[in-house]
Amino acid sequence: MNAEHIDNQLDAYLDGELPEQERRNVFEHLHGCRQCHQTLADAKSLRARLANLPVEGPAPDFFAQALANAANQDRQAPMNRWATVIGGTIAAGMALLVVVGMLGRTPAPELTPELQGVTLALHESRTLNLVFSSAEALEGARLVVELPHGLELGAYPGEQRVRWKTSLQAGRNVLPLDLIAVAGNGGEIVAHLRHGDKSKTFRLRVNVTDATSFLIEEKPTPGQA
Amino acid sequence: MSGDPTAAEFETLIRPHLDRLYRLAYRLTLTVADAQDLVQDVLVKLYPRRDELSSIDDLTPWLSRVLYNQFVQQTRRYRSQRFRVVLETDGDPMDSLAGPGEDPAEEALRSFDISEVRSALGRLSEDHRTVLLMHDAEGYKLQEIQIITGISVGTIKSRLHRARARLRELLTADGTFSGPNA
Repeated sequence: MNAEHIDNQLDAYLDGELPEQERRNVFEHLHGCRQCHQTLADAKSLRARLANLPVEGPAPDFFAQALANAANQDRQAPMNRWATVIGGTIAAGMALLVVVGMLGRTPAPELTPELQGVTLALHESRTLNLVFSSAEALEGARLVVELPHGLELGAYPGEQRVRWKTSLQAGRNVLPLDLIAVAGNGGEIVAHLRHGDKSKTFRLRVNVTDATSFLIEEKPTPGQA
Repeated sequence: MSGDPTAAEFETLIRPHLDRLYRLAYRLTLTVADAQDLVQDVLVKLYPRRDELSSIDDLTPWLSRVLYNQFVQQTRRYRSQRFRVVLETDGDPMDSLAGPGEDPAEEALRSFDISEVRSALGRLSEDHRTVLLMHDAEGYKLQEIQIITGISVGTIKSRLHRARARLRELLTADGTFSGPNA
């Protein structure tokens, strides 16, 4: 056995997956083969490094908050599913452009820019363009959009929390959201934009009126988050 | 615990598994933010299935499988979504996102070795990284990984072997691993 190296058996050897006789053969080979012995040591070292990779824990109150969120979203779910059918029958409205913020070089302690208000009629389906401005390209940016009770995205009916992973290019990046007001009085759309360890949160207030006509309120775009 | 008996029942079922679920989520996603998002999404999905949860004898592998499936589903969605660029930058005073902000304590914990291993892991394919971290970092057995992912044991072994070889190659190339071929 010494004539041939046994690299391809070492994983199974370390995993305890080899039958007894083969395990004994590998064991004997390792005593007589310096190269395979070194390969085994390297394999053990690599596994130790992986086993010691730390797991960064969640935020201190994350589990409690996540459980509460799950319960809250479940309470809202039946009405949302019902109302989606109605909302989906309404023709799409004109596009509405809302600049929700820019990405700052320094992490602002106040992550919420000035709120902008939008009013939609109940069961109205409209395109809301969220615009993110960035001076440079950002690979692997993540966006989480949280919707209040009564608002849904056409592509994701029944989901109050939708996530994307994407790349932003330098300039203005537009994410069109087909927003449907299906119930309730509106609330805040919260968008969390993350890149690496940095994150910013933007909030957009949406009022839902029980009327066939609607009023759009656009406040001046905040200069910077 | 919540005063709502239904929420309390759900919490009683799920709480003992949250740490393990979060660890798996972290291994799959590699970041705290994504791991929290993944766990949150799973809890939202599971809440209406309380009766089903209470009827399952061994929740651990079942919950892990739900989380893994959610991860795969979201990864597919991620790949299909793209922002649409409407205007090129026109010289406006727009800042970049880069900058300070890391937790100093967290930074202190990041040894050179850990960051190099993480960097190399990030260069593995997702399929390879997933089984490697589940097996070698989290200690899942091959059969457990099979149950969670639905991938055959033979394929898992093959991926593990190739993932380790690729990781050694990457670490050797950057000088942080002194294998026989270094």
